[in-house]
Amino acid sequence: MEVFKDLLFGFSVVLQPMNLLYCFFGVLIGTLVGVLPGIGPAAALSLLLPVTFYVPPVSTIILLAGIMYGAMYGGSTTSILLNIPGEAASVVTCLDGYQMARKGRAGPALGISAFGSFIAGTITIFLLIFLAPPLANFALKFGPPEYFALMVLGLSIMVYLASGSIVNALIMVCFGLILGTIGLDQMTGVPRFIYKSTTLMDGIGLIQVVIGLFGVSEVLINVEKTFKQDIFETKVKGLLPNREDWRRSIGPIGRGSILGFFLGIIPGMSVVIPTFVSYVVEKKLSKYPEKFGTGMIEGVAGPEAANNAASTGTLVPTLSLGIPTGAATALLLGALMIHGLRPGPLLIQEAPDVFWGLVASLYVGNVMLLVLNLPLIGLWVKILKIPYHFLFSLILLLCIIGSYITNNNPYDVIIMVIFGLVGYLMKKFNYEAAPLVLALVLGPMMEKAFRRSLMLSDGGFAIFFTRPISASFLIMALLILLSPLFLKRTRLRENLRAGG
Amino acid sequence: MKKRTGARKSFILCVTLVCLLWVGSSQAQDYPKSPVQIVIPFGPGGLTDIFWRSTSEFIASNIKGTIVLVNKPGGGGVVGTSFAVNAKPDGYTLVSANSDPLTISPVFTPNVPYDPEKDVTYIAKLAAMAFGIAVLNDSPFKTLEELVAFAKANPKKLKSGVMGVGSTPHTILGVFNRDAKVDISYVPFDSGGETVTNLLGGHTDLAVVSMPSVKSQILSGKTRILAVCSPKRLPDFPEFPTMGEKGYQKSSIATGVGLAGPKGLPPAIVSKWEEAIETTLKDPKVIALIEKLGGVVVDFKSGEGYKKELMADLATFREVLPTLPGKK
Amino acid sequence: MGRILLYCNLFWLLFSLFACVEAYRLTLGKINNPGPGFFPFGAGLTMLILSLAALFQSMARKRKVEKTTPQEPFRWWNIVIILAAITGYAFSLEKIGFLINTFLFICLLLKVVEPQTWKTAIIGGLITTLAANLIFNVIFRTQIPRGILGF
Repeated sequence: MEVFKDLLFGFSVVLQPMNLLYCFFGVLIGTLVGVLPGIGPAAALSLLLPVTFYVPPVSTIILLAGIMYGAMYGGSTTSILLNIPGEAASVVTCLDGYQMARKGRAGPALGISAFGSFIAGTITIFLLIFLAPPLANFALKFGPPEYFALMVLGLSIMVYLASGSIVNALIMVCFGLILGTIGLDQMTGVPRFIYKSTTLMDGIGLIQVVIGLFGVSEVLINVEKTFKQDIFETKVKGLLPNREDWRRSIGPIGRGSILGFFLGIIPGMSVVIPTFVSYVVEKKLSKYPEKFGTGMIEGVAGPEAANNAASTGTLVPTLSLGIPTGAATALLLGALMIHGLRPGPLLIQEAPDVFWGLVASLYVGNVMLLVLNLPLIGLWVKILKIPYHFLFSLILLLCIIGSYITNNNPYDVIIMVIFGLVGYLMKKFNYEAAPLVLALVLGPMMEKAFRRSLMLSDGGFAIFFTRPISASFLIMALLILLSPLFLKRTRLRENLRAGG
Repeated sequence: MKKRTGARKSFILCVTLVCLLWVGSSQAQDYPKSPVQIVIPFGPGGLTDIFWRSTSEFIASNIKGTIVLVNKPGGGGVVGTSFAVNAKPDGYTLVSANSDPLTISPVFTPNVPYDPEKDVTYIAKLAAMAFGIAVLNDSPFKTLEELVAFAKANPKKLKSGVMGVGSTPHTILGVFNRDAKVDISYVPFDSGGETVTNLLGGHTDLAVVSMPSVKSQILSGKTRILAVCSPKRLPDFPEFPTMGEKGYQKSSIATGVGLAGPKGLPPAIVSKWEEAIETTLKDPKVIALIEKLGGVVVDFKSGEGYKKELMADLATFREVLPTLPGKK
Repeated sequence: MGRILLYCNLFWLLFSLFACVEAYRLTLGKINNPGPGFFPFGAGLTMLILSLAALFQSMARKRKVEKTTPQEPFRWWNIVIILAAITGYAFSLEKIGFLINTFLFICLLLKVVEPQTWKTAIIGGLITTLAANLIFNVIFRTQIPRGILGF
């Protein structure tokens, strides 16, 4: 009951006109930042950091949190409309969202994405309030062995991600793992596959790869033939999701929220991973798994909910323990520190207005984003009406700027070009991009976790199995990898029974 | 006629000389005419980034110009540093001169595209960031001596988290291992935050981290510092002894944040910055801002002074680093 | 299609061999103390096995006779042009500057890839450049280079 009193207090803080204004600016900037590929919330936060000196702490936090949230909402817009992921977490939304747009269903895709994010945000905020401290302590139990086991589990779900040839998908996974090793080895400082290029020192940028693989290659595929046929079905079938869409999406949204939140809590967990997991889960639970990749709304609803839920999840260790979980939360913490606030268990006691104000602002921010994004759907859909012979040049420009702006390095654009070509070839020869992306994200994390675990155990492998959490993940991964065998057997039996 | 021509010639010569001198000095007077790009060789959100974003407005007003901060992360600071020092020495591209890319990377990482001694013009040092040896509050080690005693008796048993490889914390642990004659194993992590998280979770026994990244854990009572790597005791944590006091002066390596530019930077421009920075760092508002970050101490040094300090560090590292484990 | 698949798998085979060799040179370390080359070697080895398997699979399978009658010409040159244009943009960005570069880029694409009139190309280029300027330089104050001419 105390909690509700505190929450009301929080709302009273947020609903002051100045703070509402900051909230609005935050989500607005966040949305714009999210829509533009290559600029992530971290970059926006750091650009605005000086502004926050002149602003009281509560308002600062509200502003910054709004940006984080807004970026999550915005990122899916370009994924759906143009097949360009606004940021890495929106990659999965490209898979089905873009296909929906091509079928004239961009509106419902954008709509369900906004609503899904909103519902996820609402649910997870409550989870945050009630479960933050115990969850944070649980999150601390994740050491290197647990991370490794979790990554193995993550890769094992590859089996279900592939729609086509499994061998090809596995080759893509290996390709992604190898690409992920490019750069200075983080553990020994040894350069791997760098060949004297300073650009490659930090590895191949994920956002450049993803923009190339998805955005650029899509344009290349479309320019092969003349643009007589419409790339996008111009007769837009409705702007908002209909009843049928809702019926199908409610489950994915719920599942995505829970999945996203709990995965997001783990420090250092990239927001990308929960979206992949949600996608695979929905595909597995669907009656028509083979249709995923052609415009199934579940493939948009689930990951988008997971996306938003995960960002709330990353706030759990940040607020309760003062541990940054990524670049964005690190900046948030930095801003707090500059104001003399100490994130951590003492924050609630010392600055209750900041903490509860933040929590309440998350909710208000979500509402604002929904209100902001829904009318914009009409606007975004109009963009698709731009004739493709002009639109494609805009798309390419956006891709270029997006790739350049992360590091202000023209060679990053070259990387994008290379992967644009690679993506194009992959599309022609039936190789899927999703397993590649997941491996690229998971690979480095998995390798580091593996090596650190061995450093902790002085070379013993037992460490993976003597710790309960990591052991259970590994067993789950094993079961998942072996399950096709079981399934095949049961299907075979069914066929026999049916036939005989 | 001839005399007049002679007089005229020398008059013209004088006027030209005066003009040149005037133009030359006014170049410095007009500087900076357009925004100056300061490259931050680390990603947004890192301490260096926050430091510059907090202070650049003040410095800009003191130098009467505009500063644009550009992030160029990568390679532990090497990418951004190399970009800036290889740029035109016109004073419009400068770099946050951090110690690690200038004193450690040239030793540790192969093919660093600059020579920290010859290719860089050092402008000033702004601050120093202290590191500390942290343990959990309920750790059995209450003092550094207890830690050393245990480590001597049990080689390789203790695991210490360190921020980064080929970085100051990594070097601190290496030098400490050598001077205390112990063998504490390293477990490298990517960032201060990650190192602290793993300490809190009990996965490592201790950690060598930057003071700012562990500050909030100290204040909430979760962690303790056995010793700080700083020349003097820290103002916000006077209860923690320094490494020097404990007898491990060589391990007391701090990381510096400074400003530098490509070689051949005109001295007039350099002194303008020195003045502006010195003035900024005397401002109590700025000092308060910086110290709020915790463990970051204002430490103004002129360009020459900073260069001397860094070259001394470089020499130490050249001697010590190749002997550290983790290097091929 | 069968032939192309063969080439693909050959490519992966070669790639994985390359990866394995390079990784080996990076020191594999021991199984309980892996070196920097361990992980890429493992991934490369797995890829090697997979591509061999795929190779045999594609050779053993009956060749599907897939004759796609091309209705329209396959405009591969567009792809080359686009990739070249982007590459050119990347390299000239820091010298020429954002605005001019963008303008040239858009004009080029509009004129060459799906030919428009000069008028359309130039107007399109102008509008895009102005909009891009608004978004990136004014609203976001992002750090895109200004180039020689100062804009």
